[in-house]
Amino acid sequence: MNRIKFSLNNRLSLINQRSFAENIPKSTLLFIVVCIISITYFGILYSLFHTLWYHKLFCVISTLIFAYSLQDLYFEQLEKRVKQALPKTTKKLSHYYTHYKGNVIPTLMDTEEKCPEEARLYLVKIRKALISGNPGNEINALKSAFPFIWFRMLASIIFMSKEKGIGVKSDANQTNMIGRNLMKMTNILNFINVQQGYNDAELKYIQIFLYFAPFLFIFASDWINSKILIEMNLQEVYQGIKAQNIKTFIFLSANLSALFIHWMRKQQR
Amino acid sequence: MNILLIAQIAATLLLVIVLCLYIAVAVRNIRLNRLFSKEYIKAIHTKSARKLYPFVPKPNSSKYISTKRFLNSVDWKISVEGIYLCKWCMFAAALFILVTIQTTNRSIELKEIIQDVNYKHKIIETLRADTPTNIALEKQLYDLVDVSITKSNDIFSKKNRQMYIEYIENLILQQGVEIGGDLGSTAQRLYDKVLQIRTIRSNIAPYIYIILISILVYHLPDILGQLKKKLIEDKKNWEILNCMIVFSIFGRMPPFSVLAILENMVIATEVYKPLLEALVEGLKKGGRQEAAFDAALEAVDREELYELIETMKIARRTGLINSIDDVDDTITNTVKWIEIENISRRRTKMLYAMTAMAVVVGLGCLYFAYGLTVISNPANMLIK
Repeated sequence: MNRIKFSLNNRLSLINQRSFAENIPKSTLLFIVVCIISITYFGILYSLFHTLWYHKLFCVISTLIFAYSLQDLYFEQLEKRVKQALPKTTKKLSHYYTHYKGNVIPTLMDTEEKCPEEARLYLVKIRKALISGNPGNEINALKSAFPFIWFRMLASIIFMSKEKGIGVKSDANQTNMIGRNLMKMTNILNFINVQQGYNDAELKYIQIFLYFAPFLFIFASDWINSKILIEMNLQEVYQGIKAQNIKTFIFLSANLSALFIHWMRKQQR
Repeated sequence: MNILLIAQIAATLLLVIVLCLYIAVAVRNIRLNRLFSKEYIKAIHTKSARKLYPFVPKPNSSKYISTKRFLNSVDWKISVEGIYLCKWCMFAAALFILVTIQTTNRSIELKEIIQDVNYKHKIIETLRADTPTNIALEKQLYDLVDVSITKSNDIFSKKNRQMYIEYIENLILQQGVEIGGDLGSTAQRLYDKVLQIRTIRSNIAPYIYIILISILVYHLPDILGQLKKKLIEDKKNWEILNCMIVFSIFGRMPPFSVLAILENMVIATEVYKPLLEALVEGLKKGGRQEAAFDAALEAVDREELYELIETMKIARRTGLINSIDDVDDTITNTVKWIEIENISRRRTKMLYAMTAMAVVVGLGCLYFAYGLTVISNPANMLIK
């Protein structure tokens, strides 16, 4: 249990860049929520099929897949928010960089105030690294701690700008290299976000549909067929072992299919 | 011995053998970990593992080399021996689980048939009550008939049906069992039961399907690997675009060196990271740097990245500034090309996803239809 909580906290810390201790309440809450939803899911599955040993086994496997996907979908959502915050941040950064004529620290301070909250801590960390005693090493450490490549690149650009003194020359905007590069980065990030969003959207909805489709099939069939069978004075057959077997395989195949689509989505990012 | 038992024993035995091999390797590793350095263990482990699993191809054989190449191409950090052990574990586990499920289902099915006191009854017949006495009597009669009737295939012939029913009638009369019902219908029911149970017991089709599914499970890592190879093409597109942007951004910034650009490219990549890292290492080593570029160019699998690395190679002589404008133009083209290619790739991915969804929808339809199957023989399902 503690190991799972620890890994959840680690991943959370990696995405939101807060400390391990700061993330403990959030990760505990996440752990509790995932547990409650998974137990409820298990309960529903168990009520639908539980007679034979393999019904119980597949109940557990389906629940584990569901719980894994649930927490992963949550982290994905967090990552998506950070990715969407990134172009807005680089845009602001470019604006303030030009405004402060290449003075990096005030640029970062103003951007921190105006940028989306998801990206704020990244900028704060970059600024603190720049004003530290050994900025080179600090920035390198940050690069390995940042989970997104574009934040790593941003750290590199800002560090280079500070170290090499690349400012904005007053005579011509043509020499505002950093500002232009940041704008270029903004455009490309917007393009990537839009395209990857398109690539992901359909598959993501299919994945979510697959988690709920079995409930739809089973409850609708039970309701419609039970009505027909009772009208015809026939026994209701959906509690039998054969029906439970089909239910088991519906849930197992739905969860495995959803996991497969989840894996596919992960590969393309 | 019936097929049920043979299959169960075979599947269990295979699982036990594979698990024993797995445990033997794990124990050996723990022991070696205490004694030797990691590098030595890595070297010795492959040899010891190969001795333990007879199914791993020999080193330097074409199969071994192609498997190793395949594992590298899909970026799976596992040895050839490891993947074979994993595949055999999966095969044995799938076989064991599926055979055990089949054993459970068959046992239940056989038990249900034996204990059914109204098996294949006609709609005009009066139903017998499912009392423990009736069930016990039914089992006793079935055992008696099953032992007495010959195991030959004559029983399956429709011509012999009446003969067997009469034989069962005589058998019951000879034994003097009080059946508490019509002798003819009881004999007919018992004959049908023996026939059905022997048909089920001699049916090997489910086991053939189980073996086929287990073979599919064995090849699952290969299938997923091939699929991954196709899926990471998308990732490669993005990484090539990232590399171009890094070139465009860092090429215009001090220290205006190819090495600085490459170091930032390493940050921006995952699939091409090993290739770029090797190039950076080659450049840092000093000496003939052309060789490092040539080695990287040989390993590149995409035209766009090839051109980019070649540009860097030439830029070392002609200067970076001259090349950057060209790369900027290429970025514009690449963005459009990615946009178009994404549309076709999305369709392929949807096809994979739809195949998975079709299985679930198919099972859903089967479940719905299952409720209606009772209508085909309502006599069995009338509310008593």
